[in-house]
Amino acid sequence: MIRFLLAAIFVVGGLFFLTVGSTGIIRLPDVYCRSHAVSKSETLGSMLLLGGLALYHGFEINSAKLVIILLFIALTNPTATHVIARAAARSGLQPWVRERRVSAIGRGNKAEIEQAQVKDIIGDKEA
Amino acid sequence: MISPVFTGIAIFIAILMSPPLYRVVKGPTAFDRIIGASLMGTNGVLLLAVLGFVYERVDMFVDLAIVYALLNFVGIIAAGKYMERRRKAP
Repeated sequence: MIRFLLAAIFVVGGLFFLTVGSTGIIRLPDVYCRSHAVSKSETLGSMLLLGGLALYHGFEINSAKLVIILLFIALTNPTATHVIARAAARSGLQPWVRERRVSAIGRGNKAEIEQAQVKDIIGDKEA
Repeated sequence: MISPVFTGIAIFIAILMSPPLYRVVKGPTAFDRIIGASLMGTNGVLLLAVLGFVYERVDMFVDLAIVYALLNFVGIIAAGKYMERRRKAP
């Protein structure tokens, strides 16, 4: 009985983290931010869901296969996301920054860019 | 006897496959599309694993899920390596 309760908790938690990952890929502004959502919350949700299914199924060869899928996803999902993010970085895709810094970069004034970066870090208050 | 709980979980995972589909269709760059495809593949593996419990044929669907996970990984790595370009010399 405690096994089924634990399996239900795992499956519900896994569905929650899968929802977080799917929301992140549609709401976040950049490919790097989206890779963050995919690699972390999606991996955790998959591991929780597959672990809950294996726990529900009991001690058998098929639940061993489910655990094999779990380990495989835990190894390969962050690896694939890292490959994509590295390819984007090597292709020269610029990370997303706030509007102020983008307009400063567009005007091409170096001092203004640095001032915008400092303002982005420490906030709008004049020091 | 088809369990309604696992049917509900399978429908929920199938609904969760639609935001990455939007990202694949709409994504500004090719890398967004590859990331969306990767997410759809992972959700497809989970959907196959749950469908095994829906139809009570876990022995068959688990093997399908293993093969799908392997092919998804190889495809995403190949697409990422293919899209990787050297930065143009300034």
